Amino acid sequence: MNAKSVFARYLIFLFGMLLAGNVYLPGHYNIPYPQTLGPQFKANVKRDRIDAISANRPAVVLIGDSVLYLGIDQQALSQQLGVETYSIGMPGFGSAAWYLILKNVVLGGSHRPEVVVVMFRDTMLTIPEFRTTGRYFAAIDDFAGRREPLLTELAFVNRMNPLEKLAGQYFPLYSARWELREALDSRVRYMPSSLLLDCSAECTDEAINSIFARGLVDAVAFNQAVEDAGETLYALEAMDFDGKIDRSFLPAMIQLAQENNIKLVFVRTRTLVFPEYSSEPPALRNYMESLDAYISGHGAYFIDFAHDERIKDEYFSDILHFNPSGMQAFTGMLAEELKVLLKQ
Amino acid sequence: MNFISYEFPIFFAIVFFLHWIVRGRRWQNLLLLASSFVFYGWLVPWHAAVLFVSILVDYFLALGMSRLKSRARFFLWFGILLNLALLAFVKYYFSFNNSLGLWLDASGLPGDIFLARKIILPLGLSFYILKKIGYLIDVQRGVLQPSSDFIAFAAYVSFFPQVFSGPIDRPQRLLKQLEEPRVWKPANLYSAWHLIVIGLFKKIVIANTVKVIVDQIFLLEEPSKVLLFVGGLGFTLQILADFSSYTDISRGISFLLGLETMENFNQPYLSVTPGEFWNRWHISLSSWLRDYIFFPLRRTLLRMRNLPDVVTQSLPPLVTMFVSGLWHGVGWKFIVWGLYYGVLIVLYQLIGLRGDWKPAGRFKLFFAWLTMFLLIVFGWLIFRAQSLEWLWNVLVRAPLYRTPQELIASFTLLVMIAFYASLLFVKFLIDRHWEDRPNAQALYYAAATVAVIVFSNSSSPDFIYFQF
Repeated sequence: MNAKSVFARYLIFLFGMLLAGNVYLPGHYNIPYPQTLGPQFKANVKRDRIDAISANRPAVVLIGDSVLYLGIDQQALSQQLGVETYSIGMPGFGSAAWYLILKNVVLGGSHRPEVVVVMFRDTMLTIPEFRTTGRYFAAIDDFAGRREPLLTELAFVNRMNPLEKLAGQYFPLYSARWELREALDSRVRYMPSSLLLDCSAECTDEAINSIFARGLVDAVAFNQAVEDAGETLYALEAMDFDGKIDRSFLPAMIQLAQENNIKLVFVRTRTLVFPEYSSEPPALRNYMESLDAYISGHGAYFIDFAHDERIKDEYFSDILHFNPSGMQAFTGMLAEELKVLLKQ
Repeated sequence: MNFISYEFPIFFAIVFFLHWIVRGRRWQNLLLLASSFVFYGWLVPWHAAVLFVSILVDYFLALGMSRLKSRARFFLWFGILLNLALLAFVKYYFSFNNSLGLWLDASGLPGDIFLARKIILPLGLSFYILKKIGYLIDVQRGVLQPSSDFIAFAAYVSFFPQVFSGPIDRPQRLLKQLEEPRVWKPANLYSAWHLIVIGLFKKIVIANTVKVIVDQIFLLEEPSKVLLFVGGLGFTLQILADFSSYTDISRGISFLLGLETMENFNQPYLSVTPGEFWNRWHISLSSWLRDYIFFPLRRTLLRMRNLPDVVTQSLPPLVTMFVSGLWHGVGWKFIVWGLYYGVLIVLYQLIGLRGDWKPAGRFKLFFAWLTMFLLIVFGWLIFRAQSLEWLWNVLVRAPLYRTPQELIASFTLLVMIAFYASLLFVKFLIDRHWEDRPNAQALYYAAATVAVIVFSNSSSPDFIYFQF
């Protein structure tokens, strides 16, 4: 076979496919040309949480990830504070989701809580792109409105290299890649079980979720996975507070809270990644000092439980999450701190 | 830097044009050497310094061997020990550091400083160390003249398309090409483009997608046997797609630089015996182990007259595969994985099925293939398991399946893995039945390129074999 001929035909086929894709996809997925950079969000914010806040009228709203979900007993917290509380802690959330929840959910209804608590660990507050793509995007999309310029800029556009920006704007095949992958994935994932097992998409998702629930994950392997993923949080660049602050959601979150007379409290939780103060990288210590100064200097509150000796190692089920006894103890400790704030 | 990073195309474009603009192989080699060190030390510059010093030492040791023949054996063993010490230090650094830290802690001394220190250790060391040891042995044996051209030798060892994950090319092939003049010809491009396309396709579309499923299954505390089997099949696909993609891209890039490097995979999952599997899987490593461990050990054993046949037949594969296990990683599971293949090779040999055995008849062939394929999948389960205890627990204690929901999920995941496997199977069919039809080949590669664009992300997981 003539190698030159195969190469020539390859170029012709490729050109044809790219041309066809570029003509067909913008119409099919309603993509403008040139495309605005960043993902397309659904038109409306999911309303269930907004309605719940309007109905329950909590004085304290807590926002966080699985550390909040497994670390705070909302009922016990409400009892100890003597006020209604509402917790939005979902596994896999990062600062992008927290910003959206504050802007579109907490401030999306008519009720304004007195205090909003954001529970975070290490450098999560200043890494805007952390957990925004892939399977995390669906959660982001649930809390986003159609137009989210700050989110798009900080979480998506800033991380793109110039080539990606160019492709994203002027190359429809590239800008429609999430839609194409979604279409392919849903066909491969749902069609066989629907045809052969009479199991709908919801039934298939439920089956998969039932296996991969957090509780079934091996703690040791999970810790390793967290440590591997943690390289993002502990990269030297991530611990450069001054270099990251202006490109994070933190200033916008503080501003939103101030405009609405909400006390915004950032709570740094304890983990076993760096259990002792001495084991923390010096860059992380410096980062935390700067973060504390920034938050306190801008009228918000910073509570650091990272090296609180009352939180014992046996309170953890893995290096990040509390077990039930840890949850009770930590809920009590947070309640003590919040009582002081609520009295002010 | 790696092949699928954003920086790489820019880096390679500069290297490619400069390589063909400068005249004469000396300048070309100097450029290759400089670019290899930039590539290797991109994230952690001191890694390149380690590489440079180790090259320098072996270069002079090899020259010493040829000039002081009476001390050649000493130089050889000195070089081997030095290389192995470096390899062992890097491989066992973390476990040693942790053990030391825990021991100090238990003794009431400040062990935290050892537990907390984390440094990024050089990647790809196992690959270039084997290149250098092979070179030293060949020079001592007298089958290779030591290179007097330091630049060419250093470029051979640090050659950037191979430095992280091989292939472990022999000096007789690659160093020889580096010592000869190279001129651009269109055939370089025709040999390269399809390797790069298929490499990117295997990595970005297949390996990275299947990885998500595999990682989830192997994170579970106690998956059912059905789910473990699905995970094993997934990893069987992932590791082939991931590792062979690196080789494909590496070979494609080498072709563009006018250098032909060795193939590393030859449809390994079609093997019918463990011996054949190792002749088709990671060929550059298996042939290295064969030439520098298996054959010398067998020759030594054969010279010992009183040894029974079973020892001379069994010991070489067992030792060779034990070393292969050690090379692949730190921990018992890698040793058990290596020995597992050693035992399989011995057992197959004992029942008369050597590496070149082919059963007569389609049914027998299919049965032999299926048996071997399942043995390979089981081997990958040992390799990928969180630990041997975890695997043992699942194999002994876990039920076949727990709920009907688990069967639905397992079926769905199996279909997804089968779908991505079928993309490779189509390529296999085209190569086997339509090799002479340029349209089928060209169409496949064009579709693969489109898929790469659709599946590309800002960041992509590293290649699995980097860690070795």
